[in-house]
Amino acid sequence: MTRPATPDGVSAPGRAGAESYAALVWRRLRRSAAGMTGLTLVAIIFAMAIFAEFVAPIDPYRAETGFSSPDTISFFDADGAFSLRPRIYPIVDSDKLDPVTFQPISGPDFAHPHYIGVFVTGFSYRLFGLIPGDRHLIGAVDGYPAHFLGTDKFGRDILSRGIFGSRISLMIALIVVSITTVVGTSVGLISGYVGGPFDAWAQRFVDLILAFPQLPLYLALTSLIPITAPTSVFLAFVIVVLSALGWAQLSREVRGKTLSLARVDYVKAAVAVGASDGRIVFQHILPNVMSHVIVVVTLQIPNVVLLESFLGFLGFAVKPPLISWGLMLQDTGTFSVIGSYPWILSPVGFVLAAVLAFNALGDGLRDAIDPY
Amino acid sequence: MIRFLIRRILAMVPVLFALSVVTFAIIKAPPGDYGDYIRAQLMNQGGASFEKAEQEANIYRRQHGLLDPVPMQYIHWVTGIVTRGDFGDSFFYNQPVSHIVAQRLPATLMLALTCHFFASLLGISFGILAATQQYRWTDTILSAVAFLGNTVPRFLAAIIILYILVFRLNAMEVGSFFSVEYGGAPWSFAKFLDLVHHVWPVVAIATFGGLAYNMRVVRGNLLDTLNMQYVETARAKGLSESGAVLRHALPNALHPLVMYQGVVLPYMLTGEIETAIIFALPTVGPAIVQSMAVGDVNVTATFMLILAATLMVGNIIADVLLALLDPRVRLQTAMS
Repeated sequence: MTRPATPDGVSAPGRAGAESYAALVWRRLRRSAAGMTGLTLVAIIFAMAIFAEFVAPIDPYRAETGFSSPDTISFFDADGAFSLRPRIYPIVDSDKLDPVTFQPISGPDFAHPHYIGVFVTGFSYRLFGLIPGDRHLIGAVDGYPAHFLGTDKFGRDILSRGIFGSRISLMIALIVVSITTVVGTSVGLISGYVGGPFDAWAQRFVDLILAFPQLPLYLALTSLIPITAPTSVFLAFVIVVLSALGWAQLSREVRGKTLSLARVDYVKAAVAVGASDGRIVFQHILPNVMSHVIVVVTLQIPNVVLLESFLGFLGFAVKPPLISWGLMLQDTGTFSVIGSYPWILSPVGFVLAAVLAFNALGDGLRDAIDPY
Repeated sequence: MIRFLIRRILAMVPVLFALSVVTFAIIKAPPGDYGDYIRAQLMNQGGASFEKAEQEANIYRRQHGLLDPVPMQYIHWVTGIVTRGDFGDSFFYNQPVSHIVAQRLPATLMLALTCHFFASLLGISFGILAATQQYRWTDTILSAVAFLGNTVPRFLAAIIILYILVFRLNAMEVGSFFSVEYGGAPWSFAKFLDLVHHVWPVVAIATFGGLAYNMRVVRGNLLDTLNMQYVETARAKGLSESGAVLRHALPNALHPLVMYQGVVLPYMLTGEIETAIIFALPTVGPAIVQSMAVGDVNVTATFMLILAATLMVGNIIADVLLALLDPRVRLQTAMS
């Protein structure tokens, strides 16, 4: 992306035609604070998903004490002196007993601090299955398993699982959105461009799909997956169900755009000089529809992430050996569990961050592409 | 007007037909039927032999036409629904599905309509406020509220509010419509207050999302109509600002909102279902999830069909309202 000559958004005289459309959109997007925040967050989330092994402090499958509370990061010595080096004090049982319950009283062990550092050595992994490594972005220097967000019921680190969970959640979202985008755009383009009986029938079909109440239909369809199905089949089915219902709205919007674009002068001119249908659709109509499609894609990703997490919460999306945000939220459905161990609510933060980020980016893009 | 209405209702028939086919397919897709359930029950709990139990099951199957070819079963099923309101039987509840629907649906619809009412009322008022105060701090705050309302996932909000209510504020009023002391009591103001105590989180969460939606539409359209010449004229002839906005600009900005009701309704219904599942209110949402968990697909699919039909009726009402409001719509459809 080349830097525009005038950063204030007013193009210099005589250069107006020189800037590409993408550059103009980028310039408008850069002025929107919400849009840029969204873009940054989205970039961070994707980086987190791609380099999950490096970012996660602990192996997400490593099991320790179940439901242990988050380790608090402290900047103080045992005698209360402040030091800049963050550390955590492990919680240990002391010799004293609680006079009422006769449980050992536990508290921080000030004698053995575990210092927190960046680029520490931890569990070894193979990045992308190729590059071996054992460095981690953050963690305890001496290899102590620091649980910054506590552990779940099997004693697995919630932060690391959240970081790894972004992979499945984003992967489902990206696959579903790619399918719905390709199908929705093609059906919309063909339907709007060809017209006639094909258009009428396609629109009837779209009407039908839109007439279904989405959530109950998802639930009804996912209930068809045999509970004993292997994980991959289950995952594929979820993706198929989500894609099968997601393309209709987009195709309707693309059709509307195509219909109005087909009447524009340059398309008529293209028809008049004898351009082929394919050329007209791909060279003249598609580029003009693309900006709208990109916005829809950005706004659809959070929807799929959300739907996946809701289905996961109900236990109908991803199965246990895999990690997803929805699956992590499954335990929060039990009152007694969230009452005693409120930190297992923290995956909510991951979903919320992703949803807000993509929506902010989508809103910013929409305003940048169509400022009116 | 009557012709318009009939036209819309007739247009609904093919969609309903397709819906029913899909629903029926979903019901028929998993292996097993109610006969298998009877057989299993007889064998496990009645101690009957397999042959004996199978015989009993076959009697049920014959009586209910489960041995007929599938298209015949479909016709049978549809006639049952249309003539007797009979949706078949539920495996799990061991009673006709129609009973479960009758128990759950009214509460869901009432809740969804309440949410809808508040979402429209607040959404329109906020939209007016935001549009008349464009680019001032009121508008900025309301836009932020709209962004949050549109994006904050309702089921996550529900989980967090539930946690705060139950474990921080020690609220006891979750998981049912009434406190125990009002069970079976006749309607009174106190009972109504009790109901409000129980359902307000659900209503608030579902309203919040819909409110944001309505507000965006009203704000956008009102900004357009405020620039129209007839509003300028109204101001010029000495009408007060509020008079000009409310009498001249607003009615013309509301048409798109009425048009959007077809989109908003399912949104509200979904919101109600999502939050009711978290709050375990005895409405449609938890019933669907429960029936899914035990593989009671008849109930799941029937609820889907009913909700879809409800939404279609809602769409028709929205269309009729729009036609009443806007003669252009009426004339256009009459001519086409």
